This record gives sequence, C-alpha cells and structure tokens, in this order.
Amino acid sequence: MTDYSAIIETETDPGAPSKSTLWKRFWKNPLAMFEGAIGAPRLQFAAMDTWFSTAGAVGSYVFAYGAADTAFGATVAGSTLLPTSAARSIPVGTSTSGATFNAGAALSGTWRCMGTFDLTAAFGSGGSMAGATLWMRIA
Amino acid sequence: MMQIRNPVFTADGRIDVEVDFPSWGWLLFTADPNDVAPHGREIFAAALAMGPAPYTAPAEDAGAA
Repeated sequence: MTDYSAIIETETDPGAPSKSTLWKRFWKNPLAMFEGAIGAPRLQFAAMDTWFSTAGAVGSYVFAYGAADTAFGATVAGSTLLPTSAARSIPVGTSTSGATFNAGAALSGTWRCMGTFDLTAAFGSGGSMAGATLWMRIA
Repeated sequence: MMQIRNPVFTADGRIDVEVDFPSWGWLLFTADPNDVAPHGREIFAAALAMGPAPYTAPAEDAGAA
C-alpha cells in the first residue's frame, strides 16, 4: 500500500522550491487515498453519487423471487425477478389454505443472486413453500 | 456501444437480450425503455432496431402442484 504524506501550505507558497519530494507526494497521495492508507483523507458520503439509493439502479439490492432455482452468485435477467415480502410469522393450525404475498413488477437489467434461491420446497404433507432472496443489480 | 444478440420480447413488451459487458462478458439482460439506468434505455433501442423475436409463454411445469 502506498503511504500518505501530507503537503503543508508553505510547500506550495510563491517562491517555495519545487522539490522532487513534493512532486512525489502529488503523484502518490492520490494513490494512497484510493487505497485507504492510514492518515489519508477518506471519500465522504456527500461526494458520492446517489445511484445506490435509487430502486432498480445498478448497485441497488432487491428482495425478490425468480423463475427457477438459482445458485449463490449466479446471474439472471431482470424480467425473471419480482420484488416481494418475507414472512415474519406463519400461524400454525389456523388454516388449511395457502397464502401468497403481493409481488411488484418484473425488473430490468441483470441481477446477481446474493443468497440461494429455491423456487419451492416441500412443506408438511403435500404442501410447498415458495422462496425469495436478495439480489443485486450488476448491469 | 456494447455488442448485443438474440433479442426476445418479454410478456410486458420489454426485451430480453444478451449483452457483452466489458466488465462481465455476455449476460442475459432485460432492456426497458423506462429503465432508471441510461444504458438500459439505450440497449432497448438497439435491441428493438434488431427486430426482437416474439414473446413465447413458458411451457407448463409438469412438476408443479
């Protein structure tokens, strides 16, 4: 990792000598900042773009279900994904019929599976559960 | 512009297409004229110009309950 070495005000004052050590810091300090060197200034939140907070943008996450079992790290087209909810609790013994959460509109772009998606899993005697997991848009 | 191939309309009028992304290589991509990402809208226009294949409904899953 490149070391960070601060440039002080007087080194850049009119008449100050243009030393090799100063130019090396002009060159290496940006590298040290990008590498996260100790003592180097950090990129502040206000300097960042807001792409990651726009729903559906590249880099954003969605909790959704797909059209087929998908392994951790695999990618799918957005048209196969529908945003949905997770169950917080399942009442036991109160109903024999199933229930399904609402789903949003199918997505755009390409998404990477950040969990493991199982379309369905056997549940009880003859029933099945439907899966959903976390996805990240990568393109 | 990135290379694209095999455009196919989705059920809702968007276009599923394979795109050769510089960072990822070939990926399945859903192109949307209303995508929040500008490149998604551009890919939709390019895919539409290629004359996408019509949408075909998926076959019934014989194993479905």
